[in-house]
Amino acid sequence: MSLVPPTSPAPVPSPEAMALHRRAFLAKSGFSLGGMALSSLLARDAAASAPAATTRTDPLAPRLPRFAPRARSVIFLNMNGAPPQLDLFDYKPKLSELNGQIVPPSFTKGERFAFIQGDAKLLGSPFEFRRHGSAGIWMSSVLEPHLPRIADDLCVIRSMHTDQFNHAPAQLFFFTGSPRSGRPSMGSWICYGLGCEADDLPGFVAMQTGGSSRCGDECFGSGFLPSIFQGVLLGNGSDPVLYLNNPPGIGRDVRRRTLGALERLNASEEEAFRDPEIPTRIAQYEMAFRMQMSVPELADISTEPEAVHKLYGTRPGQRWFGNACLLARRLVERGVRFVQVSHGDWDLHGGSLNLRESLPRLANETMQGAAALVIDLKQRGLLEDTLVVWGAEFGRTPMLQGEMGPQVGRDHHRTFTVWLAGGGVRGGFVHGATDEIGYRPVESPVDVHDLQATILHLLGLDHERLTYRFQGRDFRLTDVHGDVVREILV
Amino acid sequence: MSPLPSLSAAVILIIPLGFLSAGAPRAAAGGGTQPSGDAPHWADVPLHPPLPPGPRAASWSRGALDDFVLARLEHEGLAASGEADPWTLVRRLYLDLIGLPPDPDAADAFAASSEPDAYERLVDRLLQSPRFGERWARWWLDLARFADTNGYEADYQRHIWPFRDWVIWAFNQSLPFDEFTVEQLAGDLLSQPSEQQLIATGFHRNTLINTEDGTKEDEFKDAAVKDRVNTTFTVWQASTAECAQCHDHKYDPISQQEYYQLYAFFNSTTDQATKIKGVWESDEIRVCFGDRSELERLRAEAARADAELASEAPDVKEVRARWEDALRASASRSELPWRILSAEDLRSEGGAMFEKLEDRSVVPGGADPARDVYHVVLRPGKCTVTGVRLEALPDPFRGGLAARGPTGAFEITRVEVRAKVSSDREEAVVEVASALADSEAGGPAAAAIDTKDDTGWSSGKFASAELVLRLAMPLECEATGAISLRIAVGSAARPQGLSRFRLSVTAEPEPHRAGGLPDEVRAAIEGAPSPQSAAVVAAYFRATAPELAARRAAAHDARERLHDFENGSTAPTMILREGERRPAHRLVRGNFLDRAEEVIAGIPAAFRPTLSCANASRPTRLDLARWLVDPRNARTARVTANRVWGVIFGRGLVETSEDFGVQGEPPRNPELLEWLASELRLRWDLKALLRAIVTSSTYRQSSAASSEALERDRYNRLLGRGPRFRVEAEMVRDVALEAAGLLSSRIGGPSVFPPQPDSVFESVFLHGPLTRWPTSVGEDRYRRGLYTFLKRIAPHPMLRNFDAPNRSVCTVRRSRSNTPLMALTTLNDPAFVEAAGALAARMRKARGSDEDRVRRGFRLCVTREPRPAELVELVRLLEDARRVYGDDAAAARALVKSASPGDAASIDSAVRDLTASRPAAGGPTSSASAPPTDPPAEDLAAWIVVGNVLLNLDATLTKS
Repeated sequence: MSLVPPTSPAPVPSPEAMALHRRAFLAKSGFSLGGMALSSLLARDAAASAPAATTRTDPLAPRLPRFAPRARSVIFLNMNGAPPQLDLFDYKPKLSELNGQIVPPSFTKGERFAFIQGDAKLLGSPFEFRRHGSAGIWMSSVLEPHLPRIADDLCVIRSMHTDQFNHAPAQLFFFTGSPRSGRPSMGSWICYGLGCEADDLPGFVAMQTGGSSRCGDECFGSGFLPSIFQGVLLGNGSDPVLYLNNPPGIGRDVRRRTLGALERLNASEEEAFRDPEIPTRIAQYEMAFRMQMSVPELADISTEPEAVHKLYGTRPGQRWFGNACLLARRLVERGVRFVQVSHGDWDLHGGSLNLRESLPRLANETMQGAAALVIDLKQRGLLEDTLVVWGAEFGRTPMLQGEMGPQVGRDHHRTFTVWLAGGGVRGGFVHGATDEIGYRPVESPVDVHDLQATILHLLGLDHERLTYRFQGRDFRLTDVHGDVVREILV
Repeated sequence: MSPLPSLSAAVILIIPLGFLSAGAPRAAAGGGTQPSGDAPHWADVPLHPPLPPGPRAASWSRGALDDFVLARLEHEGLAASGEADPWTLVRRLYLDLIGLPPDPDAADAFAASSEPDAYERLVDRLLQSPRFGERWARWWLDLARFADTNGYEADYQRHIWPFRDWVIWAFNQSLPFDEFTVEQLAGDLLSQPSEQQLIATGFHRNTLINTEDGTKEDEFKDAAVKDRVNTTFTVWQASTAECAQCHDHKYDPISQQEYYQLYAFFNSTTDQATKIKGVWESDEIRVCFGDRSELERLRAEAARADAELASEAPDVKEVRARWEDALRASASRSELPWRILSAEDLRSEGGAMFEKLEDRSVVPGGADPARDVYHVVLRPGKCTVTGVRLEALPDPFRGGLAARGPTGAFEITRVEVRAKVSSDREEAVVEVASALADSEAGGPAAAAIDTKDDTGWSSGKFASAELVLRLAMPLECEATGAISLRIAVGSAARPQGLSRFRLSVTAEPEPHRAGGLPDEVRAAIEGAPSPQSAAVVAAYFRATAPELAARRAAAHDARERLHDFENGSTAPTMILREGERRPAHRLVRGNFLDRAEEVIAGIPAAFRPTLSCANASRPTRLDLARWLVDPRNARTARVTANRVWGVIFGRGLVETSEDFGVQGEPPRNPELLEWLASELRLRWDLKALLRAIVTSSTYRQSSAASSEALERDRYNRLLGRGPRFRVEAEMVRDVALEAAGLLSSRIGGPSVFPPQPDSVFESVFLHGPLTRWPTSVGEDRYRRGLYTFLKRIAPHPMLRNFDAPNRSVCTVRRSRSNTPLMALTTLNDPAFVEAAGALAARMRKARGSDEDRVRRGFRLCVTREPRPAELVELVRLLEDARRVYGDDAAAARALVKSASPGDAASIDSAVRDLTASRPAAGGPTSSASAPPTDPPAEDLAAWIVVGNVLLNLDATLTKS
């Protein structure tokens, strides 16, 4: 399918345009929102040629992308704390050769580091590397045995770089496009642009299986976008979404009965005031009621066959990355737009969090689930339109932090590796390269904003036109930067 | 002149500037967005009170405000609406002025009143209510980006809630908006600022602080300064100055260089953007929020005890003379045999690093946490050790103080001694028999060897001091022997480490204070007498003379009592202070590392008026603040009046209330905006402006919309009906608690922690003292929403679900969305279920039939009488629920328990709690007949279901 070129810059929807008056108005007027809601975001010809997608009238109603998308949903595997790319994907024999030597000043001149100084020693990876898959992608032994199984689906970008070298600002930058607080996260932007295909689930779901996000809610927050676009945290407890469960003693029948009364009472108010907000509120209570059904059903993985559990290495009842990966598949299957699964802590400075012991443990906790997710999506035919992204806020230095020893680690570093799979990216493909010690990208560098632009592009969104006006300014996920990395597209 | 309704203020105002005569098209003024040619932008022309459009529909209009509205409506061929019914009107007024629903009885009294000015009197009463300040503070705190934590990684708690209380106070006192402005932006630069004026400067301390290790100060200081510029210009000028950070503004007349001239105003404050220790404390002041008279009493008591200790009475003089003789004798004695040893294997638990000097003293450097533990090993060689001495020495590089950090005094809370007398022996604890010190002005030496970690030895202000530990048994060390010391330093009062210290051992049978005297005391005794030396000796006498032990202890105790009370009734609060001038530069593409030419503080050339300042070579923040409220600064009045209007009507007359630039929208009713701004500027009195607004006919209109009105003016921009919209997050909570009779009426104080699900903290990085939500108990569970502790990286989910921002940045307009998560929150959040329980209890206690009780509950939430159909619906729900719970007693008991106060231990006590009158929780208790005895849980549960529905009504959640 060819891309439909956008015809004109999209006008900017005001908060009110986004909000509910118009939605409710359209609903009452009998308009279908399939091509109408947020029409300002859509190229008119694209919308005209598209089938009417839905008659839903809520702010999460699915919206058509600007041009034909490669992916419908995204699963983002967020490795909080920053994995050491030089011990996982970016194979540097030269670094091992120079192990223990002081880093040449040509690399560090003018650089700012979090902890180490410019005279740090280089550290060769303590792990062996082998090539996997038909493309012979380098992977360290830490990634074995699981990740090599999906080598032919992976698109590894070794030339990622970021502006930030401390966790909170870097995570904000990675997920919101700005190192400062207050902006919407990527998942929120995407739901704002595309809505959600499920009408009984949130558009954006976040899960956390270990460690914690250094910028808290903000890496799945909606910033200045309406709160409907925030990532809804899915827990594994008995109340998987906050306030989902009725209070003890209110069963589903009583809830149904109360919502019936509420609807009639609100309808009487609507009759008196003719406020379009009221029918919207009625609809939101209905959706809440549906969510009360669908979320527990979704969160219950016990219905999955044994083979699936084995594939993911699930640990039912625990906070476990494999469970979250399986849930992620169930979510995108049901039409959820953006799933973000976070696991950490990958902050391997050395000492208690070090390369030799902690890195294999973290890989063990995550790689089976990640590989299983790709395999499972593929065998269900979902990988084609689901983009899986694995990455973190930054990478780790070629230099060691502190002294050589059994508990050695690496400092924060602005060069790093991410991988993608499915959703219209080339499988079995390596993009970009770093210099011989892995210090900085020397070939096809990819900035964080470029990655964000590419993810939006794969979903059929133009990162320069997906804007929201706040405080008198049109904001974008990619600020004023970002180029789509076309080389990695199928 | 007969002004056409469409003739905007822009035109009227521009007439004197010759705009109209230049042939500008009318459209450009009425609805256009672009200034034509060189004509000034509408927001920047001087403010002139517009001529009223002449009286219209006298029966409807109550004054100029209404005339402007009516003129616009008539021009569009639309009519105004009639007045809302009195109950709706009273509820609207309560919500707008104090943020709470009225008691139905008060509304009835108003409705029944025949006094002609009953409405105005009600308005005045609400404007005088202390709750007025709370309601309007919430609005301002979004602009001020007030929160209780630093933001970023660890997101530590900060102390700045006194600023929030100051805002409440300022609104309640009707502090004129110009003073309100100046005190927040530059209170520290006023001459002899009051405590209140310093607290006000917390406005710009609400910027984020990044305490993550490895963070660079210059980067985050730059971010904070930019935030201060951007917030100032958003709040007072509705200017998107922020756009000029990286390049000249694309639409508005602000060059990049001019942006950095604004930056220069804020570039020299002393606060840090990455540190929370050290300099930190100089940027806080301690303010009293508790019983001020008790504080004064304890202060006086401490002063009295100090005076007693310093007494120069004849008997004391006599003692002192003897003491001085002894002192001179001991000063002349030669040094006792203390062997100064090198401190080995130095280690700090708090991250300090150590430097050893030639005199064998040790200087701690690097991290300086409030509390630290130093580990030191001494290797004395083969000898006997009877005592160990620690000298706390002044360090010339630290201002000659014996402690690091600003208070200059150290505290050693515990010293423990272990010894391994030879390399082949086990290390063992060495018992210390007693401790002596040459000065105990800040805490007794004995406190350093007791087992309490919160008290310690401190020499107070003495620059050098020594602590001698007498061992219970002499220690016989072999050549390979080692003595390990564990020295705990720092306390709440003295949160810092030592400046410099040195260790020695002795073999004297009775080790005591060794060198005997601090250097300055020795010098004072041996040198020529002078007032200074007499003062030094006197102070030393007070600190050490055994004869004064009782008085010293009394003074110490009095200070401790004062200190304890201060801990519970005073709080530090962050303030802004001006420091050394730091030059400001234009930053290329906004990059703080890429400095271009230096700039001096100044106002963009296009802004009016020009800046006037005392010292033209260095304009200050105070000059900037005064410029903002200069009567000739038309924007401040326009922007503020527009925002106040927006709070009441749901949208400003200028919809882009954050952007009055050429990219923003022009005012819908320019004359009205000019009139409001002019009214505000008269006395900068927000209450007067509000009074003018809420007493108008425009405000009092019914908010019901006709089909025609909906079609012609869906968003009510032309003001042909009353406002109707969902109340803001905090008010959603407050309305529910007030209707339930649970709301606490306490105003101010530290932020509180109403219950929230545990999972909220599971996903975020937690470090420091606040790793779990310390759920409040008692009254603090039921405080107004604005007191809820705001942790920026994990705000309370109830508030977040209702569009409350996390206040990392200034927010002018919250989004007002309508989502299923909101529905789930008000249906199921335990706080709302508990409110439903309390509301159920209030209903059951009301007199009369079920119908009467349901009516009571409805009116507690919505104020007006329920319509007959509504009443029928609710009673039917009650009956249905009774049937359901009649068949399911277990469910009924479960619901009653979950709807009872969080600390109710059992179902029986839950039922009791819900049927007894609620103690001390604010709201008026029902004056109803005696409650039915021993209500079955089944019936109570049915009422709770009704309460749950009432709290979820659109009419409850909405201001109509």
